[in-house]
Amino acid sequence: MDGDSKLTRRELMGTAASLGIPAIIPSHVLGRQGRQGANDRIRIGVIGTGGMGQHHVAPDTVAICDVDDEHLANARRRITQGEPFMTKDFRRLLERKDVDAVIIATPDHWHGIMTVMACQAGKHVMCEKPTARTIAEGRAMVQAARKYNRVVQIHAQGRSNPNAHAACQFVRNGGIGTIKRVDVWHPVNFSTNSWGEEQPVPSTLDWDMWLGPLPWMPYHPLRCHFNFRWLMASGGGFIRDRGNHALSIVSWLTNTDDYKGLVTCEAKGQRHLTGFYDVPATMEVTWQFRDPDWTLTWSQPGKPNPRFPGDWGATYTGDRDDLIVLGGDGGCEVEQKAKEFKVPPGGVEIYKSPGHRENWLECIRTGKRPVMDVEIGHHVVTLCILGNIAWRLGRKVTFDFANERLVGDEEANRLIDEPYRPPWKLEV
Amino acid sequence: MSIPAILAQRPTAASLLADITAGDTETRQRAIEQSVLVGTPLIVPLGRVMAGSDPAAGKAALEALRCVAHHCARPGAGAERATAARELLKLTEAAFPRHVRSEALMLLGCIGTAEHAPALARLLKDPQVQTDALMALQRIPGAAVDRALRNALTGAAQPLRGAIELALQARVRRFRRR
Repeated sequence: MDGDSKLTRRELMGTAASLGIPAIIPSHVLGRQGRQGANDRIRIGVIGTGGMGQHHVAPDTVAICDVDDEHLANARRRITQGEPFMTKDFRRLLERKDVDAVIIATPDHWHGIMTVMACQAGKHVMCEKPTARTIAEGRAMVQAARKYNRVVQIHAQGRSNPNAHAACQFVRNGGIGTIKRVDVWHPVNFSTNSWGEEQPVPSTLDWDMWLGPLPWMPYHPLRCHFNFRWLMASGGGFIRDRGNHALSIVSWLTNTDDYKGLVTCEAKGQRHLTGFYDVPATMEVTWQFRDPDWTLTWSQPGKPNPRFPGDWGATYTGDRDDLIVLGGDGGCEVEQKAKEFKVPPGGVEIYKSPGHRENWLECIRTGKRPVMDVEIGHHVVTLCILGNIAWRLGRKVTFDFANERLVGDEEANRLIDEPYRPPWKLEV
Repeated sequence: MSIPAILAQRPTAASLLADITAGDTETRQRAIEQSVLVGTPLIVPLGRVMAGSDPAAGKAALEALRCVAHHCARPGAGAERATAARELLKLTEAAFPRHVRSEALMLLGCIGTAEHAPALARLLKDPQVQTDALMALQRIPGAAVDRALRNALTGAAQPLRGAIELALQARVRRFRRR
């Protein structure tokens, strides 16, 4: 595809092409109470097919969307069963009746809008991490999932990793005693020597659609694919990216997904001054939870624990022992004592996910909540976002999880939500 | 250390601007952190550095500007916040390049109050920064902001008119949550 006119033609062709794939009785006809039947095929569309998105495109994906033709072409090559619908505009994909569920793997600033609109269109959703760009978007995603009764899983897939599961059973059954602190370490954010001078937009890319709700900014490749991570407006740095993975495991092991109390958060870090990226080059964040009292830290660069070293991970310190868990995304390792642990009679048995995608599909069929339900994702990413808010403001903030408000800080509360560039809006 | 000695070490606007403009990275980092000690008098000079031709100095100035603005809106800051907002409004004038005006508007969205609504609403007529002004107004609480936006609807042509209507709707959702 090379432009809007061709996009229109392709969309029309996609509609026709869908008639060529083997006849499928719509799932909503076969299923009961709005659910897919046990043997129905769940027809998946993927929105955002670069980066992580390309790995979500399966041979039988029925629709793909990306604002970059190159991503679309690459994704198309992964599809071997039937002719997928292809578009640069996710709204066209959401309109389709032959799509039951969508995987959203766009940059963060689209997650809220697309998840809400997908739920409104009757689609189940698996959304890449980080859950959302703002606390308000995360809440809107939860509201949409509940209002439209859709299964929304966040692709922070550590909760489907067997080693993370072993760690969780070990810790939840008192393997280290009462948790006093968790210290996460991670490499520093990326840097650049570029100043981001405006460059011509590649002919394959719809830059305005890539930006979507973000404030307008000139095109530069270091603002776009992958590199958007290093700008506060779009990416929020590693703390909101890998942090969503790492803190998901922390929240799971500490059994604090439902924490509704106060948490204080303070952050410091060196500013990136050799280029235009504006997430901090280094970052030290401390969250203090209450009742029970425990401390969570995030360190970039952090110091790997020499007992069980790894690129990134966390040390869980209890009043009897400690445990090191490495990673927390698709890759996760844990010390042997957790792997060897057997749950005693009457102990805490944690549900073991068959795989993140499999768990999501299973929940679409059963109507159950997935292991990384959007509400958990919202809770976890809120911690990450608080770290960035505290760093931006240069002061300690206190967040009230019950009311989702920052306590006694009017300016900080303005950062719970970000205004959207017109015509985009977030309405559940 | 004696009080005069401490005062002698306290940075001045001139010393900080010199460090931000011509210092090495470490000097700039320190100057950015210390910028809150001088505060609002730095805002316009920092905007001028941002408008200059040295991108490294401009970046350091940007970071210092953000530090100062957010510091002035800390709980209990009192009149400092209003002063900072007034200074930021100066950076929205057309004499400054777009990136400086946009940044000032983003910060005004964070620290501005309803009293700044008329000035921000006037910028809705400026094609270069009208979207930034609209996004700033979306964040600021108060009936005066709603009034300013509704007044701006009068005579506004599309697509600005639609954008203002969207902003008004977004404000209803934003402030209903609170």
